[in-house]
Parts: sequence; structure tokens; C-alpha cells
Amino acid sequence: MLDNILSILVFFPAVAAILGFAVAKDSIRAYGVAVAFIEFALSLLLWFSFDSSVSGMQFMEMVPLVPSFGINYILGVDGISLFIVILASFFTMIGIASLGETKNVKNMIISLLFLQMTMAGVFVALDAIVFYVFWELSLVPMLYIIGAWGGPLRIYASVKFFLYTFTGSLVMLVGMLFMAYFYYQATGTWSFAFLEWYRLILPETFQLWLFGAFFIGFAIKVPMFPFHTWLPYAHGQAPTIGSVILAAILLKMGTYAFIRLSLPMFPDASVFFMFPIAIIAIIMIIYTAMVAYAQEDIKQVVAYSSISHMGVIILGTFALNVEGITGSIFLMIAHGVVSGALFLLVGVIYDRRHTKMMAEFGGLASVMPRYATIFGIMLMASVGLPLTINFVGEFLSLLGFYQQSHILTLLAGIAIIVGAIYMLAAYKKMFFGEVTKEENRNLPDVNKRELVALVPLVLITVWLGVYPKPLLEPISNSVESIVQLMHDKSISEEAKKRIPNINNEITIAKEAN
Amino acid sequence: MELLLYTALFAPLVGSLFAALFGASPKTLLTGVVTSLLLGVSLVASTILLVFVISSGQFVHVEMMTWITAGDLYIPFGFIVDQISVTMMMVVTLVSTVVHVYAIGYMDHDKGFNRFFSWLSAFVFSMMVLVMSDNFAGLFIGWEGVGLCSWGLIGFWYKKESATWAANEAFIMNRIADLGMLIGIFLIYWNTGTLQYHEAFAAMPALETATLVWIGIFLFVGAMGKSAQFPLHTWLADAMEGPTPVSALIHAATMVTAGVYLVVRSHELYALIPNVGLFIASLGTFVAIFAATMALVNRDIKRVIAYSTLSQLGYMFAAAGLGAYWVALFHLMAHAFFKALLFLGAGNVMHAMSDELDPFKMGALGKTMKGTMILMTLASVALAGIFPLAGFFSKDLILEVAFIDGHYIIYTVLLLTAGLTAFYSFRIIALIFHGEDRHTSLGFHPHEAYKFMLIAVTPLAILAVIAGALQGSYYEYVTLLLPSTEYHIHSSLVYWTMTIGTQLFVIASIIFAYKKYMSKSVKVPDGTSAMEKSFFYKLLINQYYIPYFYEEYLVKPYRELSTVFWKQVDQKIVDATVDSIANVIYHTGENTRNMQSGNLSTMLKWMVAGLVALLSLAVVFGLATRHSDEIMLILSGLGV
Amino acid sequence: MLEPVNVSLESLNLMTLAPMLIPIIGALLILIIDMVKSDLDKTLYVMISIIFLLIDLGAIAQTAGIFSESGTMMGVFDVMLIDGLAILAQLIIVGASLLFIPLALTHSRFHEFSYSEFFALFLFMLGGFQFMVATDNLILIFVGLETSSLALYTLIAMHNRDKAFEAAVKYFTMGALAAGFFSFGAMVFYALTGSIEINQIATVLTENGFADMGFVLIGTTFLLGAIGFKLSLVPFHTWAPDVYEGSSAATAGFMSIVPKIALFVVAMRLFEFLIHSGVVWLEIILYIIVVVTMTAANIWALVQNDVKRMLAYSSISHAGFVMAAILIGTTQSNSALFLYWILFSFTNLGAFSMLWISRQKHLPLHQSSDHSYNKFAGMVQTAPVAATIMGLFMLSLAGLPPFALFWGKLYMISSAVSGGYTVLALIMALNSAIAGYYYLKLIVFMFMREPIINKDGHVFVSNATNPLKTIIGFAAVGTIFAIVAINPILEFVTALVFKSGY
Repeated sequence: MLDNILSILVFFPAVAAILGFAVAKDSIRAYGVAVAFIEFALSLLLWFSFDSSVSGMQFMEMVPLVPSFGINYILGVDGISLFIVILASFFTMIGIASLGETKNVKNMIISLLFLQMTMAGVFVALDAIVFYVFWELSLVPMLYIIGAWGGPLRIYASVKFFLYTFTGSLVMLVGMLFMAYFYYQATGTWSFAFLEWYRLILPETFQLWLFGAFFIGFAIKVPMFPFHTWLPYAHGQAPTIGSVILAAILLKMGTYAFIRLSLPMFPDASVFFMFPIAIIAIIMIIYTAMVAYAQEDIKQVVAYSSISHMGVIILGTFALNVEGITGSIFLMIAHGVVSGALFLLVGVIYDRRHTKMMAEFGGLASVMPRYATIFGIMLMASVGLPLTINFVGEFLSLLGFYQQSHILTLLAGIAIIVGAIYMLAAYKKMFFGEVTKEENRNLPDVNKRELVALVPLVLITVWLGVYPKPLLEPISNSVESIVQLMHDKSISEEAKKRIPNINNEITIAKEAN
Repeated sequence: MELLLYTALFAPLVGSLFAALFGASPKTLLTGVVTSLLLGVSLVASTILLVFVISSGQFVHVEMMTWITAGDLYIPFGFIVDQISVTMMMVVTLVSTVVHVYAIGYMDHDKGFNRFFSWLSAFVFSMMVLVMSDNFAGLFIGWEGVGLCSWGLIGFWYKKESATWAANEAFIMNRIADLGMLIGIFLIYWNTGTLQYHEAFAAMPALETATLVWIGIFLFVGAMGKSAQFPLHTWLADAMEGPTPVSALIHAATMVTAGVYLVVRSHELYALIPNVGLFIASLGTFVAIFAATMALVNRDIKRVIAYSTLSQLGYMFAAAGLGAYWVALFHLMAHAFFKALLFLGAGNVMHAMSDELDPFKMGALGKTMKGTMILMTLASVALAGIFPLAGFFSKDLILEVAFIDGHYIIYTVLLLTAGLTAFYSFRIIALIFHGEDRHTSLGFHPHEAYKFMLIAVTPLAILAVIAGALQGSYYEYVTLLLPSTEYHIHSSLVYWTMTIGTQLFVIASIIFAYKKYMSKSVKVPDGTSAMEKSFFYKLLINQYYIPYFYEEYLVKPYRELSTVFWKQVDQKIVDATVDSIANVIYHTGENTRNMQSGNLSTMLKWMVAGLVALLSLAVVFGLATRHSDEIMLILSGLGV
Repeated sequence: MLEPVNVSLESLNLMTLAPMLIPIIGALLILIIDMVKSDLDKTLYVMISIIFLLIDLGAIAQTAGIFSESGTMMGVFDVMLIDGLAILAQLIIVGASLLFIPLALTHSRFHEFSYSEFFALFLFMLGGFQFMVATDNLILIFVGLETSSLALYTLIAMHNRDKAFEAAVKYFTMGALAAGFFSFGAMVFYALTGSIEINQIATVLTENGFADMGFVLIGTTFLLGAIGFKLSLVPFHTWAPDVYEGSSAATAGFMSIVPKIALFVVAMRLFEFLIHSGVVWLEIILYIIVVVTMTAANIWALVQNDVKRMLAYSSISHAGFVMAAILIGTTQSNSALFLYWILFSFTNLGAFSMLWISRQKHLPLHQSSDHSYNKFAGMVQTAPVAATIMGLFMLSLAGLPPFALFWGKLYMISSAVSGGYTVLALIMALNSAIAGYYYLKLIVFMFMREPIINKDGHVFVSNATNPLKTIIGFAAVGTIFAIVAINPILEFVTALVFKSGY
């Protein structure tokens, strides 16, 4: 069971989805919840049987697919991917549980289950091609969800989402093939396995090119400025559940891929591109935050805010030290929880009023106090208040990058100001003041079904804000090994200087004591 | 001891959560009572701790659990009770208990009664975290926590546009400062490798001065936000939109003094960088007089008191900047008592005048509200620094410090400010309680506040009176931790002339205030009088046009720029580019598809055309290869 | 008095002829049956053809066996040449035909299938193709080409629609021109080298070190024109859309696969030695043609509003994509070509069959063409399974993992990368992205639009019979689980290609 728990984790939802075709329409919801719950339980089992003290891969599985071309089905999980996997299954569960009234709900739930498979797959795949398969496959259910249940512009939005990301990842594919070819030249055998690619030390020029190729794929997925414009459409048109999954999990694929692929494979290139990327990240942070401030549609505010937060994640990733990368991974989870919750909250009001325009609301605090409270908590989490989940991530990311550049961190730190500006402004518009619109006067407060989804999120937000240790420890362990690897692999002096060498730090510490 | 520490710390949190349970439900007196009692508990615990610290001279330090660990970074939830923090704890718990009890009466008729107490206790908890934490990260937790609670409490009456606006302004302005604080923290971590106070400070002397200066500056930027120092001061006056108990607790006694606390707490750092200290002192002095001038003309009781708070904070920074940390802390404490008292008195007046705040519309309230009058007068006297009340000991001490350290400019300015302070305090006293009755004509029927509210505030009154007497013993124990610089003017002659001179000057300005504002001629200003036309009046009443400047040159441009970014850049440039690429491809198809006419002869033509094209290429290439050397020759002839 | 020429049968090595003769025999048999007793049902002919195809397959398998032992064999005065390429190509040809022929068993009775000649011609055509791939003799290639082409024209015409006749005529006329090109090109080479066997030509040319480069190029150009026509490479592609649209969906599907693989083999034999012996010009030209064909065809496919025409353009683009293999000309790329084509064959055939089963006998008034996009709007609601399968084929054609064609693309692009054609690799990748759009368009119509024309899903399966469903099912399963088969196929292909020295 535990030996191939990862495969089970990946393929159980898919199998369940296929069986789901046989389930009657009116009882599909229960079925979906049940399946998602089992999946979540499995992921928890994974966590409990996960050994936090080990920094490397665990629960590895390996099945040759195309041995003559070095493609193998390799799975494995470490501190970096573990929690994103859990997060994915968790969100699928509460997503289905809190699913509102939906037309042909059956297709929706089945596509959600397929989506769950691809999400799990991306984060546990350790073979470039398998990774790529899941990476691309995840587009299809999302395309369908946006395109079939979305708003008026849904088809434009979904096609844009698909083609944009598809194009990017094709360039990435070429990069992967290159990498495999280099490996072939170096060793005489084809291989797409990450762990074997890690061992390959590439000349700097190759690193730069390959980094670029991968970067395009990842940057579009994240999405990084200026490749971000598909996201507002996707979010704006997608149904609530779509936006939740998209923001909570799918965006993380890009940032995760940076840590899993770009950093350990191209340390010198990472150092070389650190400052350009940091500047892009800062543009993302400030520029999109300002755009978010200008929005009239609350959902767009949240959408742009996630771009802004992704900027901080990127910054943390390219801090290239343990603090920063750990922070960025933690922030991935944090942002998943918070933005997911915010999108759910937007969905709550949308179900009631069928509009997302902030001008339509105002004074909701007196009408829907519980809703206002939860929204307030999530808002404060999103602006990174200490003791909420986001703060830990943001703090560590910025702290990490501070080692690389003071001034850039100062600029990036503006995130905590601009973030407060657009979030508070939006909250004020929606919840404060007198109730102006007649139809808002007696809106029902959040109901049980919605609380099922929201309360756990609130609890997590606070719990991990106060006691992030259970996550930080394994993450930090795995990150240390990656940073060490980068340091050892790096060729250029610059890189050696920028990327800390943990081992001798440890030894120094030992000597000190 | 640890148990006591935890009690002191968490009792308010428990109260807050308890009140929160009833958050949405209509008023239940229970919440008010419970929270107040729990604060009482916290107060008792703090007192015992105080006694312990005084008696034993050692301090209590606990580490509850780890918070953040990543790489080399290790941040625990650690709390420390030493001379500094215990003083703050006393101030916080005492004032907040009083305010809670008072608020039970004050918020009596408010629909958000329970919500109010939940927020208020939450604030106390955050404040306790702020002062008790043993590391900078913990401090930052409290720092942001009080910010949050102040946001919630300023905007407590969220239906009022002005209130919510003020709340957001306060939060955002503090955020600007917090960024500085955060950077300061980063600097400390990357230079000392820890965020624990004692370890960090221990490591600091080894660092080069430049770094220390930066750390000092960035930390102070954080302090400027919370303590509303120029230029981040505008939020404090606007924060008066909140209920008066909030103003008393947060915006007078506790939160705004956090900045001072930070500087005092980091005295080991600032001791290493006197230049920064001097800068702090100068800024403080400037703010002291700057705020006082604005208080002179303002026609809103609470804003006047707010400005006076600002100016007193200036005093504290002046002291702290000059290295007289224990003096600053002492003034902080004394100020907390009489300023809270003053605010609560103002609260009574507001109640009586059904939220009217213009003193010119009052007058002769003394008849109906004797108790309040006495309390407020007492507080003002203390504030003005008349012997033997608290203000005299704490404030005049600061003057002496400035004098002794030979910073005569600072001294003069502060002295001048003392006069102004006395003037504006008694200006409002006179306008409110004495002189002609101007309110009845306006249809106000004032009444004295509940008895228990008056009783509740008496402890503050008493302390405002006697706090000065404690100076000696206070000095004894606090200097175990803080640099024990005695400030005594060597020649007693100078000393007495200075003291008495100051006293006379102050009293003079008090009398002047009374004379000016008790006369029959005082009437509600209508913008006609010569004074109101004068330039200085306009300047002061508009707060030196600083809020206007911010609105015009920061807020509006930001809003417009955001819209431009969205509508022009994001949609018209970035997104349009992406779409245009797709469209170009698509339209190429549209335009070239007619190649596929379906007409056979055209098709044949295309084939032949293709062939001919290839052929001609072939011929060219063939010739080229055959005559390659000739071509080379020609080219070289051409000098290629 | 001349000596009678006596040749020992062994030296003829007639074995090499067997695979081509079998379908021809089958064709003759069918004609005889028809003469003996006409108006027999089409099912009979279908089954006969299938039987002969199976025998043919057997024969090819046998030659494969011999090849694996004794390597390349020549036969019949060294006219026949059975090497890995020949075997692979024949396997694909026969395999695809096996998938194609049962499509005749539609629900509604279509004109062409009621003639026995249809099947006879079909088998003749196969014979032609097999001759093409199993020789390096330009004349024999030409003969094969013409046999098959003529048969094909007739098959198209037999669809018995105005458009069909038109298509047939167009195809015929242009085919004639192409034939002219071919013969002229062959002539030039003969004039240059005094031989019409590719390997002879190669040796002679290399010996004299390509003295008359100009003439070589002219010859190449003409052959390129001819082959380009059959492979529908831009600018010789113009016939393809109209012919595809004119002929029945099934035939169109067949045309997009079988003739092309035959021509690819010829191109491989002919061009690769030229490129390898340093005819830079050809390399450049091929580069241009490949890129233009891929891109232009994609761009035109974007703007089609009939699914069949779209598929027509898409198969042009695929052809261009695969032509890159010949440009690259490494063992990896050549094996990639075959791998790609095997996967492409059943994906594409599946897609066309989906159209085929949704074909109405008479064009409804409100419908501009047989397979306008609007026809498929909201298909998921009326015929979910059919829609899903169709979507599947589209995704596979778009090269989305893990479906069949992705692996082909993967290996092909990889070969480009390893062959040093980085830019080409990028262009190929980006083209798949462009192609993504029009495949997606159909999916969008099927899954995200409300039904426009027909509210009942029956139309989508109006022609469906069990045989057809089986075939589609087979194609679908193949498309989904391709990954399982990739490794064996790849190893087999690579082995054969390598053994035949390409």
C-alpha cells in the first residue's frame, strides 16, 4: 500500500471519475465528496507516513515506459511537493463539498476529479515527460470547466488560457528534449529523470539557453508579468470552483517547477537571471497591486492580487537561500489557502446577487455579519498580518531575498503597503457605509454548505500562522539539500558566492559551539 | 511566576474571544463585565510581577514555543518581564481596565456593544504581546496586531464614511512605517544572525557603525508610524473618529507610545549611534511644538487633545533621543494617566452634548458636570506640568535633560511648547466649563455621566496627582536595566530659577487662556473675526495644509495612475500585444486563403509557379557553384 | 544468332514479389467473382479484401523475417529491393487498409460500395503502393505511382457526387502534370548517370563529385515537384482540400495516410543521399518547404469552417512536419518518421471515420457543407460518447500528451534537436501550438456551445454499424493507450531502419 501510495494518490481520482459516469445525476454530488474525501485521507496518510527528517525523495516508484528513449514513470515526494499535494486534494474536497447549484453537475464533478489526478501527478512526477504529461493534461479539465460553466466571455477566456499556456509549455518541451540530449551526449543513455538531470553539470551558456526555454513555460503558468493577461480573463469568466482550483493549485505549478527544475539544474543561470527576474517580480508586486486597486469587480481584485502575491513567491524562490526558498514554498501553500478562500467568498456573494461589481454592494457588514467577519479574516491574511498563514511566507521570502539585495527587497516590501491599500479599499466599498441598494437589505448570511468550506480554511489560516513548524521543518530540510546541490554544482564564482554553502555553515556553527 | 506571566498575557485574549462569541448578537452587559474582570486579573498579575521585579531585581523570561524556523532562522514565542516591559504592562493593564469599565457606561446605547469589547480586549492582548515579547519578530506581531485593532476600532462605526476612511488611513500609514521596521528586522537578522533582543544587542557593538545607523534609522521609521511622528502624523487626528474610550486607550495612553517603547527597548543600539539619537530628539522637539501650534486653534475637543498627545510624544522622543531613556519611559507612564483621564473626561462632555465637539458651542458646563470638570481640570494641570502633579516631574525633567546636555535650542523650543501646552489645555477647559452658557440656545441639554464612570476614572486621577512622587523609587529600579544617568543641575541657583521660571511661564499662559476665553465676548466663530481671516489661523486650522497635500499629491495621483495602468497599460498594451499576435496569424490565413480558389487552372498555375521558382533557384545555385571562383574574384574586386 | 537469355529462377528471388502480387491476385479474383455472379453484397467483397490483406500481411511478415536474418535483398534483375523501409512502409500501408476497408460497411448504402470494382481497384492500388516502396528503380516507382494514382482517381469519382467528379478530375489533371515532372526528373538523372537505380545514381554522382551540379539540381527539382505533389507539400498542395472535400470522409482519411507513406519512403531513398552528399541547395529548399508547409497549412486550417477541410489542411501540415525527418536524415529522425506515421494513421483515420459515421446521405438544406462546425455544436449534450471520442482524436492530433500523436511529435522534435536543427525544433513546437487552435475550435463547438442545428444526437451516428464502431473503438483505444505500445514499436522501427542503413 505505502510502496505505491503515490500512484494510488494520482490515479484513484481518475478511476473514480470513470466509474462516476455510471452514477446517477442526483447522487453524483455525494459520490464526488466521498471520492475527494478518500483522496484527502490518502494524502494525509502520506503526510503521516512521511519522514520529515529525510531531505531526499520518499515513496519513490519507478516503471519503465519507453526505456529505449529513457522515459520512465518515476514518482516521488519530498518536503517541497508533499504539502502542495495535500493542499490540492484538500481543495478538491472542499470545492466539491461547497459546490453551489450547477447545471449538469455530473460533468463538473467528473472533470474536477480528472483535474485532481493531473494536479497530484504534476507535483509527484520525477520524470520530465511524465511531469509534462500531467502538466499539459491539467489544461483540459480546466478548459472545459471555464468554457462550459463560465460567464459570457467564457469561450474566449478558456481558449486564451489553453493556447497561451500550451504555447509556453511547448517551448519548455523543446528545452526538456535538449536537456535529455545533453544527458545523452554526456552519458550515452537517454534519460528524463530529474534526479539524474540534477547530476549533470552544464556549461554556463547552455544553462542560460535552457533556463530561458523553461522560463517561458513556467512564467506563463505562474503567470509572471508581462505574460499574465490570460489570468484575469480566466478568473473573471471561470465559475467559483474553477477560480478556486486555478488560484490555489494550478498557478503553483509554475513556481513549483522553478524550484524543482530551474534552480537545481541551472544554478549559474539562476544566479545570472536573479536580478532581472527579481525586477519582474517587483513589477508584478507593485504594478498588479495598483491594477487591482483600480478594479471595479471584486473577483478581478482577488485575481490581480494573486498575481501580486505570486511576485513575492518568485522573489523568495530566487533568493537562492534556504530562508527565501522555504518561505516561497510556504507562501505557495499560504496563498493557495487564502486566495482560494477569497474566491469562495466572492462566489458566496455572487450566488446571492449574481453580480461581482463592488458598486452594487456596500454596508454588507450589517446585513451579513458572519460573512463580513470571515472575509475580514481572509483579507487580513491576504495583506500578510502576523499570526496568519501568509505572513510567515512573505516574511521569509523577503527576509531571504534581503541577503541578495537590500534595495530590491525594500521595493518588494512595498507589497505590504499596496496590498493593504487595494484590499482595504475593496473591503470598505463592499462592507462599510450604509446599505444603499434595496436588494442588499435582506441577503441571507453564509449558509451551512458554505461554512463547510470556509471554516476549515479560516482554521488553517490561523493554525499555520501561529504554528507553521510542522510544514516548515520538512520543507526546510528538502530545501537545504537543493541549495547545497546548487552550491556544489555551480561553476561561476558569482554563483558560488550567491548560493550559500550549508555544509560549511554547519561546520562553522559546530566550531562556534 | 511564569503562570502569572501567561495570565497577564492571555487573560485579555480570553476576554476578547468570549466577547467575540456574542459578536453578532445584540448587547449583553455580560461581555463588558467579563472582559473588564479578566483585565482586572491581568492587572493584578502584572502588579505581582512588578512587585517581584522590584523586590528581586531579576526578570522573568519564558519561551512558550517555536514560531518560525527555516534555515538558520529561529524565532520562538518568547516573553520577558523586565523593568521596561513590566512598566509598560502596568500602564497598559491599568489604563485599559479603567477604560473598559468606563466604556461599559459609554457604549451603553451602542448596537455594537459586544463587538466593541471584543476588539478592545484584542487590542490589549496585542499590546501585551508587543511589550512582553523578547524578540523583534514577536514585537512585530504585537505591532501589527495593535494596528489591526486600531483599524477595527477607529472604523468601529463603520457606517460613517469618515470613520472608515480614517481607519484605512491609519492602517495604511502604519503599514508604510512597518515596512521600515521590517527592513530593520532583516538588517538585524542578516548582521547578527538572530532576532532575540539580548543576543542581537550583544552582537551589535561588533558591527560597523554604518550598519548600526541603518538599523537605527529603519527601526525608528517604524516607531514614527506608530507614534505618529511627522510626516506620518496625520492619521492620529483623524483617528479621533473612533469612540472616545478608544482614543483614550489606544491613541493616547498605549499604542501611540509603542514607538517610544521601541526606542527605549533598543537603547543599547541607540547608545551606539548618538547622531541618530540626536536626530530623533530634534524630530521629537519639532513635533512637540508643531503639534502644539495646531492644537491652539482647533475647534474639536478630541482633536485638540490628540494634538497634545502628539506633542507629548515629541517630548518623549526628545528625551529618548538624548539618551535619557528612563525619563522618556517615566513621562510615557505619567502622560498615559493624565491623558487618558483627559480623554475620558472629554468623552463625558461628548455624551452630555450628544456628540457635539466644538467647545465654542458649550460654555458653563461646569454647572451641570462638576465631576467631569474637576477631573479634566486636574488632568490639564498635570499636563501643563504644574507642581506637584505628575506632569511637573516628568516633563520638567525632560527640559532639564535638554538643558544639561547643552542642547539649548531643544530646551528653548520645549520650554515654549510647555507654555503653548498650558494655553491650549486651558483654552478648552475655559471654553467648555466656564464663561457664558452658549449651548442651551443651541438646544443642548447636558447631563452628568453615570456615577460609576466617574468612579472608574478616579484611579487615573489619583495617579495623575501622585505619580510624580514615585519618581525616586521608579528611578531606583528601572535603572537596573536602563543607563542610570542622573540629571541634576549642579548650581542650585540655576536649578531653582529654571524650575520656578518655567512654573511662572506656564501659569502665566494658563491665566492668559482663562482671560481670553472666559470673557463674555466669546461666541461661536463664524469666520468673520479678524483672527480667523489671518494667515496663521488658516495655516493652523488646516494643519499646515499637510492633509491637503497628501490628498492632492499622493492619494489622487495613485488612484489615477492605477486606472491608467489598468485601462491603458494592461489592457491596451500588454494584453493587446498578445491578442494581436494571434490576430495577425489568423488574418494571414484569411487573406491568403483565396490561393485556394478551387479553380483548376489556378491550381495548375500554382504548381508550375512552384516548380519554376525552385528551378530558377536551382539554376542560380548551379551557376554559383560552377563559377564560384569567378564570383569570389568579382566580389573581392568589389572589395567585399 | 543470339544466345537465348537463361536466367536461373533462384537468382530472380521471386519471393520479393510475393507481397505485391497477393493484392493483385485478390483484385483479379474479385473481378472474376463479379463476372460469374453480379449483384452480390458488398460484405462479401469486404471480407475477401480483408482476407487477402491478411495474407499480404503474412507475406510481409515473412520477408521481414528473412530481412532480419540476411539483410537487404534484391530480386527480379535487382529491380526489387526489400529493406527495412520497404517492410515498414508496407506494414503501414496494409495495416491502414485493414482499418479502412471495413468502413465500407456503413449503415446507409453508399453508391461506390455497391460496385465490386471499388474493391478490385482498391487492391490494385495497394499493389501499386507496395511496388513503389519496395524498389529503388525510378521506373518501377513511376509505374507503381501511376497504377495506384489511376486507381485512386477512380475510387474518388465513384463517390458519385458532383463534387466527387470535380475532385477526381482535378486530381487526375494535376496528377498528370506531376507524372510529367517525375518522368522528366528521372530522365535528367538517367542522362547524367546512365542509370535509373537510385543507388547506382548515387555511386556515379559521388564518383564524379557532382560535376554537373546544375543538372542534378534540375533533376532534383522535378522529382521534388512530383513527390511534393503527392505529399501535398506547399505549393503543390492545392489539390488536397478540394479532393478531400469531394471524396468520402473514409477515402479522404485513407488518402491522408497510405499514399503519403509510400512517397515518404521514395523521398527518403532519393533525397537523403543527396543531402548527405552535400547538396546544400536541396537542404535549404527542403528546409523552406518543410517550414512553409507546416506553417501555411496550419494558418489556412485556422480559417476553415468545414471540419473536413480543416482536417485536410491539418494533414497537409502533418505531412510537412514529417517531411522534416527527411531533411534531418538521421536514423533517429527516420525512425521518428515511421513512428509518427503509425500513430498518425490510426488517429487520423479515427477522426475521419467519426466524420464518416456522421455523414448524411443527402445534404440537409440548412447545412452549407457535410461537416460544418455548426453541425457539431453542443454535440456533448446529444451524443456524449461520440463527442468525447472525437475530442480525444482532436487532442491527439493537437499533440497533447499522453495521446498517441504526442509521442510521435516528441520523438520527431527530439530528433530535430539531436540533429542540430534547433530552430526547426522550435518552429515545429510552435506550429503545434497554432494547430492547437483549430483542433480546439471543434472541441469548443462540441463541448461549450449550445446545439444549433440538430437537436437529436442520432445524426452523429447515423452511419454507425458495429464494424465501424469497432474500428473507431480500436482507434480510440490506440490513441489513449499509445504509450504502452511506443517502446516496442520504437525498438522495432529503429532496428529495421538502422539495418537498412538509413
